[in-house]
Amino acid sequence: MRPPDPCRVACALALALAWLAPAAAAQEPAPGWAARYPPPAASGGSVLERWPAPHFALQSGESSHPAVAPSDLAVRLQTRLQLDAPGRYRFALDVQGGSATLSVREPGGGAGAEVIAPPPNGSAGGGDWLELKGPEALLTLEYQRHGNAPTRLRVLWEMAPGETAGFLLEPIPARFTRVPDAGAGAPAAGDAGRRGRVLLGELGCVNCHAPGKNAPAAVSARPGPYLRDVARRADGAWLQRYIAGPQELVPAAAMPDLFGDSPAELEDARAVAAYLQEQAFLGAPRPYAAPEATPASLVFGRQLYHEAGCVACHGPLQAPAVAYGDEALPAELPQPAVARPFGDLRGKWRGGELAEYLRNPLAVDPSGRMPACNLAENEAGWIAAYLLAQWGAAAAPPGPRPDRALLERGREQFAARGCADCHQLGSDSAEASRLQAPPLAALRSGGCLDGAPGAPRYALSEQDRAALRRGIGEANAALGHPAPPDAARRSLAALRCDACHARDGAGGLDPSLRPYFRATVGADIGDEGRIPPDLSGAGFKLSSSWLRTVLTGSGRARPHMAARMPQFGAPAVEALVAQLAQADGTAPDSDLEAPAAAAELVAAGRQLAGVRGFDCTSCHAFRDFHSSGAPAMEHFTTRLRYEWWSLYVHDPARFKPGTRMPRYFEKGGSVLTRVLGGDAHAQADALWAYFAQGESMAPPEGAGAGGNFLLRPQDRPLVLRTFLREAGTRAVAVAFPGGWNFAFDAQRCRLAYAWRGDFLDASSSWTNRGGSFAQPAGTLVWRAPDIAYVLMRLGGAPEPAEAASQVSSRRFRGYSLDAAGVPTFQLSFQAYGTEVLASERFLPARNGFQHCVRLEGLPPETRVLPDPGLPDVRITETPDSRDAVELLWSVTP
Amino acid sequence: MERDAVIPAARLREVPSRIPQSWKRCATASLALLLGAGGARAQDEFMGVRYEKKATRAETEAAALSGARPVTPQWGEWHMLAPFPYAGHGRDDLKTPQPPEAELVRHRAGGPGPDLQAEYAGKNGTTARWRPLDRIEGKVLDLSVHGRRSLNENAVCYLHGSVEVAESTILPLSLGADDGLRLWVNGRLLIDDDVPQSLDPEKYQLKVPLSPGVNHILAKVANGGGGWNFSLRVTMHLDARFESWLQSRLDRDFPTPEGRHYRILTVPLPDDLVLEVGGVDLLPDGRPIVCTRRGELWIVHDAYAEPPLDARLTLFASGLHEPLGLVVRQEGGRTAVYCAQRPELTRLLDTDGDDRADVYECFCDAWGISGNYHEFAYGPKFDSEGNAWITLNVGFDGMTPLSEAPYRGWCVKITPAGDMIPVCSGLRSPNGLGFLPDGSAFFLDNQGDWVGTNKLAQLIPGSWQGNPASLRWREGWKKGDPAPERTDAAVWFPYKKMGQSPADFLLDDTGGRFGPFTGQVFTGDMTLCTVMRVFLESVDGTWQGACFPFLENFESGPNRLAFAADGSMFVGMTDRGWGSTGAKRYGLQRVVYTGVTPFEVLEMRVVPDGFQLEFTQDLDSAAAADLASYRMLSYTYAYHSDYGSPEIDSAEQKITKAAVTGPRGVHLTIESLKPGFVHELHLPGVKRADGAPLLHPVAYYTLQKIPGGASGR
Repeated sequence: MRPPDPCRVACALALALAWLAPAAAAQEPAPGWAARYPPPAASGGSVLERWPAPHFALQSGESSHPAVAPSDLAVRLQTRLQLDAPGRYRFALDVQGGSATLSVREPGGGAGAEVIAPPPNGSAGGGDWLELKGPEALLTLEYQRHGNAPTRLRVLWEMAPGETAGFLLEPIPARFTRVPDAGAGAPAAGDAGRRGRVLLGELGCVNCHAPGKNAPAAVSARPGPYLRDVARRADGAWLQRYIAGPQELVPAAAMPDLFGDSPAELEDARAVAAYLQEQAFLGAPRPYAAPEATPASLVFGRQLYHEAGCVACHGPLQAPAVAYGDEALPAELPQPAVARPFGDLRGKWRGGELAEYLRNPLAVDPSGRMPACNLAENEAGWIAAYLLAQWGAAAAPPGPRPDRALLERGREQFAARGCADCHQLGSDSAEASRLQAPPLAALRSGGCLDGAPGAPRYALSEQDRAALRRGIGEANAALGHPAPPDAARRSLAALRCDACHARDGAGGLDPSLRPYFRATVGADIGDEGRIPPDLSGAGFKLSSSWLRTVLTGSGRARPHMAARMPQFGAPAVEALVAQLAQADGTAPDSDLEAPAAAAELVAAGRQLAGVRGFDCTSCHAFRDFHSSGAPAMEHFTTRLRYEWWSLYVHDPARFKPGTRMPRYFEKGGSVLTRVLGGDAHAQADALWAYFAQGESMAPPEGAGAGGNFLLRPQDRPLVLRTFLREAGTRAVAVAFPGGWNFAFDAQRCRLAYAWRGDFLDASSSWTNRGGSFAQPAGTLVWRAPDIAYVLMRLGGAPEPAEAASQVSSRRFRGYSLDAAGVPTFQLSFQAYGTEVLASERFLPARNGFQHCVRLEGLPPETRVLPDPGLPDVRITETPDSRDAVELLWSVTP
Repeated sequence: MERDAVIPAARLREVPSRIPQSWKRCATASLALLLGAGGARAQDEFMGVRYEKKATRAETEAAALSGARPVTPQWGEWHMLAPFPYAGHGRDDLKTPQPPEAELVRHRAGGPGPDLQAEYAGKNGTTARWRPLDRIEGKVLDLSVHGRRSLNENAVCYLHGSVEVAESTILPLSLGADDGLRLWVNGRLLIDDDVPQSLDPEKYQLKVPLSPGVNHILAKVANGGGGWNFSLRVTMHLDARFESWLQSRLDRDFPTPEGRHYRILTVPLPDDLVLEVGGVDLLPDGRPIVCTRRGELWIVHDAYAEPPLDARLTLFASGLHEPLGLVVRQEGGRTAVYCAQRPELTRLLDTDGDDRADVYECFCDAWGISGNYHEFAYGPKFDSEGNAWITLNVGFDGMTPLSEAPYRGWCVKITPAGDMIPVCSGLRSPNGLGFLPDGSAFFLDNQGDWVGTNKLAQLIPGSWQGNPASLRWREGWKKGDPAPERTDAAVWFPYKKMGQSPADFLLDDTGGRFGPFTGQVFTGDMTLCTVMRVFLESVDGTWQGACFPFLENFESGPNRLAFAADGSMFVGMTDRGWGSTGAKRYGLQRVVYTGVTPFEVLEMRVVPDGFQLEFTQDLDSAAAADLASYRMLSYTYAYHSDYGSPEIDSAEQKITKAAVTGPRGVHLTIESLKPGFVHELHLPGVKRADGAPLLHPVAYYTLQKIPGGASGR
């Protein structure tokens, strides 16, 4: 196979530098708000930064910025609000633990108003309707925290429902805001400071330059990969070249060049390589199993590499037309600015080791900067085989063990050069560093930052150096208080979430990579089924438990998306669960109170979701019923926050521009007018109540086989013999029009229970081989006593043995239907040596149902003893026959 | 004005959506009225489609369908590529691509498709090559094509076919697989379902977009163990009466060899009526009454026209639990319908004469039912003393038979007083029973554990039929006791050669109105959609005999058979849960004898030195006396707990003499008859006096006893 083209290496180098540089200055002002903390909040004077949105939720002791004191936090925010259409708008503040005012002003001196949040405990304080002409309004927000209390801030707006573009009261999304021109440079500098702090961690600066005790709130340190097995993975020659000059081989390497060009320096590098190589000899021997490079595995590896998401960081290795063998796709290799181009990796990997690494990179590098992509063993093998074939040469087998003197020199250099500051051999080792680098607080100039002779050399651009200087200042000014919104943004940058996901108008997949992102398995929901989702407002949208599942449990809402959500390891991402929520103005694991799942509401929701309603399953999966690949209905309410969903469902495209999810509600009304009076809000709540049934929800009409087998009585009762839960293998289920259902157990000859709502799904008997147990589809409202009545001697004492024999001698005789189709059940039993015939029927009645029993052939001198638990039993002696009696009880559950 | 009399083709496509409801309610509505075109129903024109006989059946059918369907897909050849390894269920291994998936790009619309000459490394060191298949649309494909079980189990295969359309269209497909399935259309993955399952031809409903020109379909089917099947059907809606009409026209003009003697007519069903037949009988007035696996009983009106385009069905009863048999009885001037449903034998009465049952009497519920899916109850069939016989299936836990409740795996009889008498044990999956005129009772069992192949055996009171699960309910029997003596099969049905799922036992008591087979027995086969014929004889007190192919091409799996008074046979069908080769999942058809005698082996009797054959028509005696006209094989089956058995100890049987014993008789002398073996006789050279060959030149005689001589075990 051909070696990488030198031009491509150079090109990749340029690209890597491009990553290290800030994003090219966009023509369009950045979305967001300019935030200014007034002095003396921060020691270095007022801090300015760009906020995507004026939303946060903070606990006591937390701040919005590491260099700003949490107590009495005050901030002034300004934005140029973009109005899609002229019309009547209303603004509101959601403030807790503080106070805020918002002023809205139109540039031309038109409408203007001040909105003041209500005093404590008030949630959304709303202002009056304003007539805004657009296309812009200037918003100024003053926020003041009350002491160190938990606090929350959100700014909401609404457009009158009568307007064509009207929308409900919602937190203002970032995409409608622009940082004001005045002071635009200053917030950008704030962004640069954060970027500098990210670099301080990513380049390992703080591993050598001890940060102050407060700095960890502003900088996240990143340990380097474990090195014990590095010589198993790479061959000695590559290792030596890499140590001597990492960026020459891997242009985006975070590792600095620690060695000069003199023969002595190069010998030191050789010694370190030898020392590391020796480690591979010390461990238990393992075979170097290489994945098989068959023509097919190369094809699968090529496709998988290009579609699993690898290309977002490492870049594509082949044009889409080649990667997928599809001439309809572009034939040019895109050259996007990716963060981690491979560079020259000839000799870096042995196949088997690469496959193992791809399966679980966190075992080698627990920082999660190379995440696990949920690859199966064979998949990892394919990718490894494909990549090795691209690079041309796999690592050579280990050479002879180096001599002792070189090893000793290597060990010495490993400590002296500070390698051990970043790298340990394994999680169990404690290699000491003897490098004495000045602490972070003492850094001024010179050293690595300025490329001083003898200092470690990094590939830094001028912007990087500026950002790092600013970052050092901020880190040193940090107050040690956690700042979740800041930490969220740092984590998203450090883990390069933004390589795939856009958030608040920044980041996202490079457009040239889009052809590589695709759906599998017939999913057809447009870009939502193939492009990683926009994370704007993700903390507002997603439940914390679902975020946790996605980040640390490989949870996927769209399993048909070919790109796989990488797993970075819990240490790297578990804090993000709370931080994302807080950055979006919601407290983790909190939500508005959802509507209670009343049976009627659930039933209405189910009707709405069905094929004659909004036909949700035409796109959304439901259990095994795959539709177009949209997320599964039964997981909606565990994934989504009710507050977000209840806004979203009214206007999906507003929250997800480009979504194929249709809009069913407009101006408070619904396109379906016959359910719940066509009230959009009531229908939305009904849907939520239905979805909240989760895994146990009854299928919506039309969702696969299950949907077609729900039996409904029309004008007559339905009688169905089936295996039925809690009524046995000889059950008779009866449904009356109007929603009363009964289970008769023909084995024990008794009414077993009654339920309301839907009857049952006959698929248990009517599909495949049948013979499984049906369950009541509605709500169980009454359980019958074991035996409703026995006969006893007039004036005598109860006779348990006789009663037991009356029960055990019961025999089912069948049932008859009257002209209206109502069944009367016949049974018989032995009482005092006589056969008694019983006819039983149950009928819906006002507020409940009636159970009527007629007994014939009563033994003389006996009477009926009903179960004392039965409500309100009436016993009628039948006048024309001394041996017959009728019982009736009415049940009102 | 012929033009006015013709309903445009487009009209036909609108009709089905409107007709069924009105059809159900409106008993008297005739089609002509519904169409609003009086006189449109000319002899060879129906629902606006003209029937015109062309050179071949396929051409004629295509021409008629092109008038009825918006698109006519042209299927190319199908090929199969196997075997590749599969790790088995629950290992998520179906998604592991095998080499053909590396070429999916060739499957783009208009693309070349797979390289059918390519060879791949297959499972266990085999070489996988594409092999051509017959037409597969509308059929169930058996993918167990390899000689070795290890290549048929834990294996995956690929199936490729192309379909050509003239313009962009959506093709509705219905697919099923046993077990896991992935399906690509034009290289795009549409189904990915790695589950163990039996074949349900309607499991996957797809609407497949096709581009003008060639479109490629690639299926990947996995098999863990057991059966390995695939089915694909085009589900473009056609009106059932149109189909019935077209079929009758095609059968008239292009009859199969069997069709010259027996015509199959289809009762058209409304779209929303799922007639999965569990039982058929005839009411005293001749109307068929049918019970379905969904627990409904339907009366069929106007079922005797040829074809029965005006047939309609009315509901007699509903709500039963999978009734698998139905008998109409006259009792003291009233009509009672007996039905065995899962929990009980039920007697249904219509006391007010409105053609709807109003009494559902529990006639007997003395057998147990634990709730296992496989606990079916078949029957009843009434003996001459008025006892209702019922056979009770064992339950299954995977492949293990269970008899968790009393008398599972037994035959029982219910006296006229409603009391239950256990008859005999050891049954497995006994879907069919009946009596010979002398009162001897028989049942049919399905291949499986302890049943080497499907069989017919006599129900002798107190006997044991070989499946041990039910022994626990035998009086005096304890676990660990030696198995009792077991009853031999009277007739084995060699697997696949003679069906895969025998169903029902129908004695020909038509006195010749159904052809020359009076006194013989018919049984359906639910998998291969055939009806088979059985000749039985008693040899020194042991029943044994031969089975023969009789009639194929039913549209679903025949499950119940009944003779009408006119000597025609109603065949009720279903294949739910197990699948059939038929294009439909259920239905009702009627077989009418044309009066043209088929040239068949009528009887095959064993004699001490061989077999005495009797034919339905006079023989060409020279051919009949020629030894080269015959060939005989023998083999038997293992009795073991494995599912089924291969044919074992196979050998050629030497025929030493063929002596013509009359115009229709031949005596074959066999060198050494082998008791306990199937004697499979081929008669390729036997000719009728006029030179015509046999309609079915094969017979399978199960020899247990040689007259006056040895017995099988």
